[in-house]
Amino acid sequence: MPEVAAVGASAEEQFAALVETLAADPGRRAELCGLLREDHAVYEQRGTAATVRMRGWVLLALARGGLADDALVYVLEELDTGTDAYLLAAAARALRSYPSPDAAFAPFVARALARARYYEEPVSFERYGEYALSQTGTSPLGELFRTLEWLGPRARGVLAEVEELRAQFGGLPRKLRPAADRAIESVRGRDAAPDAEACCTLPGGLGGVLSWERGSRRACGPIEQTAFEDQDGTPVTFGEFFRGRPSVVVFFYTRCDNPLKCSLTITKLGRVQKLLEERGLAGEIQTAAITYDPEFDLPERLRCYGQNRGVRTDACHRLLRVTGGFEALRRHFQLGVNFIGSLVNRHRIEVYLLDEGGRIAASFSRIHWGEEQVAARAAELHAERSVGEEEEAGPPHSPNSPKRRKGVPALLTAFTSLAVAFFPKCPICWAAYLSLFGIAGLQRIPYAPWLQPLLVVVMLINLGSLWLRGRATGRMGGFYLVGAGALTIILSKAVPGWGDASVWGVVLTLAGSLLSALGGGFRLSSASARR
Amino acid sequence: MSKKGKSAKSSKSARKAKAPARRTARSLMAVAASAKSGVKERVASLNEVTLAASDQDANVTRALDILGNDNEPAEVRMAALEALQTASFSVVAFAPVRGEYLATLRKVATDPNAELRESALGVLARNKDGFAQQKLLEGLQDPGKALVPTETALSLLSFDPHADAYNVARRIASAPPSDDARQEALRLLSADATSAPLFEKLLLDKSEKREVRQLSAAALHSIAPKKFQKRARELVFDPSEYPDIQATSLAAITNFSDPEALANDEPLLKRVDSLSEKSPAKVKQVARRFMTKFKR
Repeated sequence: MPEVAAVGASAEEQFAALVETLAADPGRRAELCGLLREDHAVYEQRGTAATVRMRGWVLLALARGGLADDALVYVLEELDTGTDAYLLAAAARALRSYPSPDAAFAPFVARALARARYYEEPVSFERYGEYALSQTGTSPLGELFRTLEWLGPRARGVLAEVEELRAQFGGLPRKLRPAADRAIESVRGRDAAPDAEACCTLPGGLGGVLSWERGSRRACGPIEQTAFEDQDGTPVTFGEFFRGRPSVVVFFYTRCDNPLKCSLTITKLGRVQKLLEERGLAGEIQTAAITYDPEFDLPERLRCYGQNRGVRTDACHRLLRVTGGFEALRRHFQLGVNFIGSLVNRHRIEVYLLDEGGRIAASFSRIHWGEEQVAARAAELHAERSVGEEEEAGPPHSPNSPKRRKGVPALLTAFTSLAVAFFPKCPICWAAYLSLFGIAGLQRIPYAPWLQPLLVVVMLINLGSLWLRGRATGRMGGFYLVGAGALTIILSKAVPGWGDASVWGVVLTLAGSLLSALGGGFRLSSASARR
Repeated sequence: MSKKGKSAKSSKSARKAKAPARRTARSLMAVAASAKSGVKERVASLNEVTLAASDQDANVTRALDILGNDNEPAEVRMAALEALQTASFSVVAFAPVRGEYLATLRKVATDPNAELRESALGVLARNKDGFAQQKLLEGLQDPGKALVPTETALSLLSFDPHADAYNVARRIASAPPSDDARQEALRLLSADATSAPLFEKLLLDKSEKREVRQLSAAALHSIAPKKFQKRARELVFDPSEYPDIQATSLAAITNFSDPEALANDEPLLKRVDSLSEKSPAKVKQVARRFMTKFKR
């Protein structure tokens, strides 16, 4: 029985031993954290229950060594959407091992508490794969209350919710009421509550949202010919459907039994469609829901699933199943999913925004996404298309090494650069300008020395903005040219006999500014760009 | 007090005297938990008690104690399990004791009493409990560890398509210990899209049992409807085919085939027309529905 052996207890025991080895070596923490990726090879051909046992064991190992930033998102994801008692409890325990409590964790813990009531069961953390047969051990609610107690006054923002849960008739198991009271007492605490802003900002910018600048987006060439079938059985390729307009793409499957994942994702997609319609973009921005389970999710199932969740379907809005080339699609999007046979054993929440070339422009994953946020970002993509910028797609790179949007508007940078380049920097410049406009004669123009400090300030602003833009786009050529130009101008003023060099400084500044504005220059490595 | 008022009061009290006293959940549970009461009386009390409507903790804890105590008579424990199962349908009210209930069920799942074991595993399997699934799979892989018969284990595992049971079900379907086990294995595989070729083969194999072919028809219709519709047309034309298989095939064609193509399929229309006149009742009914939908 080779199949049976493949999923047998011995294989899981080997995994448990691997986790222990990694946990014991601080130098291999990243490998340990990497085991939480859904697409990791260790989860291939595992059942859902085995996947739960394995992930739970990794979370517990992380909890023993202290949770670091790289693993934090997995823990928060579990608290945000998890419905398995073992994983919820393990995630709650792992969160307490984070170096310091943070107000941003409180809403995750509160949401998990409200949900865990209905998934409450005893769990055992003693040995790998052990199921609790008595109430003597711990449980999701027990772990969550301890985590809330650890958060203390930083969880003040969710105090009312927790108190309500405690006050409800029959809301909590009797034996957990003292733990709830301790947690509430700790949250009330004597320390001052953190400011309201802190409750909504995740440490390290975690939020599951990544964006790619236009020039750095991965081309969709490898999946251009991937064949799909929509909810009506109409065949279409990736290139045919996704090229031409920006698109919102979500992944799901109809047999998903976590109501907070696929079912909610599709319901929210319906809401995104309405928001786009309100903005007058229903025909301009496409939406697509692609199933992870194309063998089972036949057109009829897709149509019913979408209809029941308020999703509009037409030529621009489709529910799709791959009929050829799912592996290529999985690789292209680096989908956070794994399978046993053709059935999903675990997946993350993932939403992508594609530009009109079918390239991934943004992704929202793991943590719950907001419909408004997705609709607004899709509208931005549409506006970007309207501006008519056309760039060739950059070389493929991992979505794990994106450049976060820094909010440096390219037009502002270009304007500043040009302003510096054309700013009058000497009496001759002033004369040239004034002559040009025919305002006055050269002898009547006073040379204004006070302009020099102003010029230095503007030059520094220009350099700063180019630096930011260069970091965001990964193209630093413009910054270096402008830097060289600024240096030349300064030297032309400071070194006797170098006066003529200022012209070269202006030329370099102008060239660098234009290079930056047009997106040229050499590219930084993705790692340094991310920093 | 008037005469009328007096008589009304007396009839009311008479009715009260005649009606059996309604026992509270607390008193019922007191009887159920008492070892001094007879087994029948205890079972009757547990059948009568409504745990969800009572102050849940004390009574539910008593019921859980009875269920988890292997010194109690099996009938009483079974009655306690049924009472708890009924109470668990009130999800919100039952939430505080859910954990304890599941822990007790896991303990009972390995009880020496087969009926209790099977019932406990049934409840756990419906809750997609990892412990129950692990025990059931272990039993299928190693019959020495089996807690329930093979067909029961397969049936319980089929509650969760994510239970990792397809491989073992395929093995059992190809080398079954019994006909029942084979049918349950096939029923479990009917949610596995990769099993479509197996079901197609079974459906067309006339040496197969009628139940197996009927099950294969339904499975194929679910996981590969286009493939089934193609075969269904052949089955409708086969005069030697079982009526229920013909009826299933014709129903699938009626409801899921391309209406335009059907309306122009003269041989099929002719064949169904004749079936609507002369065939077993089951087929006739579906054939008439077809003709109502597609006759020109």
